[in-house]
Amino acid sequence: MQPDTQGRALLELENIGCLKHAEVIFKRGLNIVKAPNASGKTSLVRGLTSMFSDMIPPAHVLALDNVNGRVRLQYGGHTYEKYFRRTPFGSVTVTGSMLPFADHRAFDACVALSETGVVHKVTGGGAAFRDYLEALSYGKRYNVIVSVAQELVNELNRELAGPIFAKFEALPLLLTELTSLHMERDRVREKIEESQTVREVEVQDFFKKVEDKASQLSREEMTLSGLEKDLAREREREQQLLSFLELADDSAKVAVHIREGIAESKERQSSIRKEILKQKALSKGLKSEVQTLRRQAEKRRIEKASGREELEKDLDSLSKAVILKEEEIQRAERFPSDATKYPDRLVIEVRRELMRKIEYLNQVIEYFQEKYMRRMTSARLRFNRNVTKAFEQLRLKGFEKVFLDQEFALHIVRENSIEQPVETLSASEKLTVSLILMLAAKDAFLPDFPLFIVDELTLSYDPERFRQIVSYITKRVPYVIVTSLASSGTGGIQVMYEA
Amino acid sequence: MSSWKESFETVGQELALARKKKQALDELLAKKRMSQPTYYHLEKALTASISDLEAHQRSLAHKMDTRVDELEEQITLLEWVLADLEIRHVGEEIGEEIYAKRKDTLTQGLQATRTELDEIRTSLARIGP
Repeated sequence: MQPDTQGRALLELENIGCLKHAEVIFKRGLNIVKAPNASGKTSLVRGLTSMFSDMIPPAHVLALDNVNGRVRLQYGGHTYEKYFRRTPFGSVTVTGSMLPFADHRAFDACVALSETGVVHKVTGGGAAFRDYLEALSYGKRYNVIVSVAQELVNELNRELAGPIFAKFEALPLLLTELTSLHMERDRVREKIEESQTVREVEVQDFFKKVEDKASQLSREEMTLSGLEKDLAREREREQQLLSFLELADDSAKVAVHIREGIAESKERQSSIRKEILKQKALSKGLKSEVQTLRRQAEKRRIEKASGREELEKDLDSLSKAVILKEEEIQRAERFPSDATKYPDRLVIEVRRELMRKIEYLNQVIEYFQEKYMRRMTSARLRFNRNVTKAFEQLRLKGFEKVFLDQEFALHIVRENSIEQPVETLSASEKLTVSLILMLAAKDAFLPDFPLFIVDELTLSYDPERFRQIVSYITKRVPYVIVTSLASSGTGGIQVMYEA
Repeated sequence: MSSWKESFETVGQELALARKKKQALDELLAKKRMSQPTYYHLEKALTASISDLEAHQRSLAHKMDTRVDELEEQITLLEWVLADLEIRHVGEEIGEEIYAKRKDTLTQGLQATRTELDEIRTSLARIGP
């Protein structure tokens, strides 16, 4: 900071909080702003704070009954101005310039109001200072990166758990199902071939049977033909004998023999005729049987084996099921063309891309987590060192050690190493501790910030310690502003200076 | 005995199924029902699974080979004991009753050992040399 020759800074406020117009001069050293209640101390602090930090909402700075407001600070030979404007919708916009050393973290480390920063944490009995140090050490940025990366990883994982990816993951299962269908189809095919072979053997056997019958018929027909020839021969013989009988005289001996021969021939003819009739009946029966068998054989040859149709039906439905399964597999490996994301793309390619992103993000998470841990550990150790130094230099009675543990919980160790919970400290002790912690934080993270603002309420409990601590701060910070309550008859804001 | 046989048969079935799956996968690629990237993704996993199963099967086969040697030794021993029993019976060193009892026990043991040996050899023959 480059103060002007007198080290003065002029603060002008217009329509800020309850102040219509105010001009205040701050000097190097201790500036005690005295004013009665509701006369603009808090408005002044808010207006000044708005010049180096945007932590106070603009609507809390601008006067409620005004549309425009202004804060002007002449400092180091330059003028810095901020304008507040209320829009028709009620919100407040801010334009203008900030101080060159502006830093939003200063609100937490250099403005000791009872409702803000570490003061609030200690007085409220808060245990964890992680957020406080995260903000001051910029560790929060790493944490934000980690959170965002983690959220992206979660989002990608959610995407990977979606129905299309789930279907893709089920591809091995679909392949198993397809293989089962193939095996079932092969089994049915084998059965069909087997039944076909059996059928062919059966038909061949049947044809053989038909042929056997036909051969039998042929033999019987030959026998019949033989009988008919025999009959013809017998008839010829009878005719011959009859002709011999005419030639022979009536000598009884020859004629008797011939007549006996004729009778014998007739008898034989009669016997042959009977045989022929029998043989004809047999042949007829056989012929009809052969014809029937031939018809049956032909029919058997044409018709399918029993159960074959069922098997073919099974084969048909299995072949269809195979095609359907193949189509299902084909669909499972690709995004549909009407999909909102990755239309027509292969699932495996998208999956690989997403996995690569997850891997990369996990590396980012790991890297920034490590950075965050290092940053936070370093911040905690620096903070603890400064706290110890402050307590040592202030020589405050009753405190042996005050520090943050690895979980960023505040420990207060009293004399004789007795640890006291923060909640059980007295109100003034809480305020004392919080102010020292704040100062330690400022030394650790904002060592060059030239301003420290202390609200009277934070110190009004213990005037002796107030002076001790303010004196300590004044030695370390160029400009210290302390607001203090004045009696109601003293008029407006007054500033007292102590070099 | 049944435990190794069960394991061996289970591995054999799993291996057959895995090979069929590989065949089905190859068919899908040939029919252009599946893209090459997806094919390689599934094929990689399937090949690894087949290799694991083959290694497991080989390990089981090795154990079974060892068991075959053991059983063969056991059979030789039992045959020797049985022959000794016969000699002692012929030499009337042991009575009829004891002879019958011991012979029965030895024959049963020999039979069970041979059965196990046959089963192992049949199973080993199925996976080839």
